[in-house]
Amino acid sequence: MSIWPKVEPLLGRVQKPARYIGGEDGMVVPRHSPSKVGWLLVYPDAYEVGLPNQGLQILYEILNERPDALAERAYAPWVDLEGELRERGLPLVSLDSHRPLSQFDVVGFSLQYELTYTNLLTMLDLGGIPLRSAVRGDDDPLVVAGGPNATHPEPIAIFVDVFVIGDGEEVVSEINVEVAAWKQQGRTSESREAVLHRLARIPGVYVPSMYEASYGPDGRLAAVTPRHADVPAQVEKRTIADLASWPYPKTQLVPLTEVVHDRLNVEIFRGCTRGCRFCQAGMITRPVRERPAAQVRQMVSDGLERTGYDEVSLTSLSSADYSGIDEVVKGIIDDPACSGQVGVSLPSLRVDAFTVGIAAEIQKVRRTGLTFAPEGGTWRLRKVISKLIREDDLYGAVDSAFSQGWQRVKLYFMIGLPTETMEDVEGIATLARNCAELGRKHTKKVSVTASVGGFVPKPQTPFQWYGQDTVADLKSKVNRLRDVTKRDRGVNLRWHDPEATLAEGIASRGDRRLGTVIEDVWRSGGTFQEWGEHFDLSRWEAAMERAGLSIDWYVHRHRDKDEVLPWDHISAGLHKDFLWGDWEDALAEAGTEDCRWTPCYDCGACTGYGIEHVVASNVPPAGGSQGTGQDLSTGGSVPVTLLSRAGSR
Amino acid sequence: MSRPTLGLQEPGVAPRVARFKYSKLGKIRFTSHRDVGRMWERALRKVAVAVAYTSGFSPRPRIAFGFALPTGAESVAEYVDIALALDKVHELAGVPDQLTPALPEGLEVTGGVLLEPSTPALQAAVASSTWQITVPERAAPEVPGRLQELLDSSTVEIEVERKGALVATDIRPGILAASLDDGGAVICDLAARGTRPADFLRALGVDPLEARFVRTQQWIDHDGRRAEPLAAGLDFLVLREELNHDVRPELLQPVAIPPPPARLARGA
Repeated sequence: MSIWPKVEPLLGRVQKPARYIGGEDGMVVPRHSPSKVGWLLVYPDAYEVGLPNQGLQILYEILNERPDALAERAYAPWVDLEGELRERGLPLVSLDSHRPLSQFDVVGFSLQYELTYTNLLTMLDLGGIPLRSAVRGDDDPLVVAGGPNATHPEPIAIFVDVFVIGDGEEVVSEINVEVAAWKQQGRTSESREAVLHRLARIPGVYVPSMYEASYGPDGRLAAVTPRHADVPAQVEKRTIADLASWPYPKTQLVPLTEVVHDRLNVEIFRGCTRGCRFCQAGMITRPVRERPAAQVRQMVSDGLERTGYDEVSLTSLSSADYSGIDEVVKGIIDDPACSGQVGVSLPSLRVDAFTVGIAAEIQKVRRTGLTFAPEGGTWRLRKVISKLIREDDLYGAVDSAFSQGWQRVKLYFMIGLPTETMEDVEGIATLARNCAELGRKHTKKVSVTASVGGFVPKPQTPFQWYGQDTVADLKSKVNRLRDVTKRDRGVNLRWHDPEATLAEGIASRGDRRLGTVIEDVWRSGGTFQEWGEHFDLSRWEAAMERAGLSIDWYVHRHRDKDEVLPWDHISAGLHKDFLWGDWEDALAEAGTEDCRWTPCYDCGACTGYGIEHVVASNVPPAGGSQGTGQDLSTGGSVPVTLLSRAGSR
Repeated sequence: MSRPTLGLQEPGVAPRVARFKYSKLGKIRFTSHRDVGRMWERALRKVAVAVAYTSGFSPRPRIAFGFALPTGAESVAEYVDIALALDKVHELAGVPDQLTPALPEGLEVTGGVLLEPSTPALQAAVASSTWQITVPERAAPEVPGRLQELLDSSTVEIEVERKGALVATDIRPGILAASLDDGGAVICDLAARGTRPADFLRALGVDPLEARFVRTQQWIDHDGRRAEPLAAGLDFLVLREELNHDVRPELLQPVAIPPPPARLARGA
């Protein structure tokens, strides 16, 4: 039952109350019934961050299309509303019909970022659900979680009943069938155990309680083994073979209040084979599956007409790599139905002049800022991370941008990458300085922002064995950058808090023992840890100490080849020996080329599942950087124009 | 990217401006004034109303609202002025009915007029608003006495929030009229600049967070009389009729405006 009359009087007392009313265009009015499995899909962060999440919206639609299911949504209430609810003994409610969380059969979390884990606990607790799976009873919903972080689930394995690994489009229905049967039987405690067991046999589903974690005398994880013979020793991720079969979301939610990415979003491909070694998203979503261009155009024109948006984002991990991206973009801009009023945005711009050409095509008027991500300051380091952007590519892109009227360029970098030296760190300043220099040829108002984030080695990547930089290391690198850029006109430095980087490291590569730490951080008040104003590292340090766990051991230690990793029983498709070989290549400063257009490295993502890349064109895009038709021997050389300028100063 | 600038293409020619009246009732009252602005922009694109855009570096649709309705308050008398890039104004007749389904639930377009070219903007023209304020039952017995006291005073100084700071302010000059209706709700006319309904209620000793605010009227000065803002223009339907008969629009009388609904829909 809806408890809106109890919630409504609180909304005058909280910030941005429109976050809690629902009613978006695209919302499905829920019709609860005993014959339907009720899903509450939860994004454990504030509404304005969570609403645009496409994964959650896709599952929301797929479930609501099923006759035997319905889905509502919930987002993390901001601390003020949490306080009001607790003060009055009210539970967390769904957004769509304001129904208490405990009235759903399944509560499904989207896990995008480790620092939101404590919000997951807030929401379970506010919903009146026991935090730990082991003590949940027959009245409690099943707690499910998916998204990228489900590929390294152990730090929250004691809280989550069921993890879903990989693409959710197909498996969500398979889960629904089992849960529907459980609901028909009346959700008893024996049947809860039985349904978990049945779910554990569905490919792509990991049920932590069906596995035993054992530790050696040295405290290292020895194994995570199934408790039953019919539960797989390793859970393989799910992959949909063809994005064209899943044209979702069909009715994207249009929020009533301001959110991030407030525009139409159309996913043009999933997966990325650029092979950047730090990038978990690229590693775990292989292979590349492009949406057909005609379907993209249809989704764009239908979506714009239905929503009234005047901007569409063509989303993917590297949108300039889409076959025929220039034609698709031109098609949208020239579509008479759009009457020339529609803006197109491409997230994750590749670093080359071709890409800037597309950007120029779509940003005829508001040429405010362009963002590129070279990630590493020197060619040597970029080979280590396999981000094969030559100096020439970057300067070509930046020169092209400034010459076509852009005045602000933002460059993303990481510090704390494997093999990094101070020379590499200073390379960041050199690149930014040279970009500003190039800009001054075209405009006086040049601004180059170098945005620097601390690197967190992620599971299921070739860097999963690497010991993360300490806070002190990261701080000294930031300080060096501040020193060397402070006299540079037009160069601005931004950096991510190294302490938050450490907390992310703690929650990323931990084993099941981290659960007590995350619960401890939450109990000490550590919610919304991804928001700078609420983050406090001392809570994490104290919790680790109370649990008797070493930050150094979990975060800063290099792993051995033979070590059992806490996510070895989860397969994101990549063979462990491929990842290790790629790690050795990294240390040998050898980058790998994109396998879309070069022979297969047999990483496992295609061969293991009998699927292939789905690309409309098997030739690399024109002017494509990053190991596609470049002369890599020239990667670190600085163009003559810049050399002569540097010499004349 | 180019946007149509019809109505602005000839320098010195001002575009025609349509004024719409709409209500904001139910859950949607928790959205902000800015949120409502975005809802209108999307709705106008959905209905494909040809809106004039500002010229310059970053063209925006030429939409102008009146004084912001406080977040959380409801209204049956909100107005928006929209500069049109239409050359056939008679096409406007169906627009109000098309806009309501294009707007989120809770926003309903209840009227529209075409303004004379030199009509002052809402922000300049609206002098006062009428509010219906429903106070919580347990505070209700106190209200009549306090209201009389307040009306009898020549100054009512309270601390009001201005730009994040508390400032002692006399709100009495901004209270133009106040009474109680049959249901015990406070009906008051407050100056557009000067006294906010929440401050007025605080002066009555009632916590605004526990009250329900509905703006029932906004008032402009029209030909020396108090009138509602639609009086400044010509009703679309009348306009179409008269244009069909080739009557010069400026000869037409302002249309009669129906009184606000007696019973306001309750929030969802």
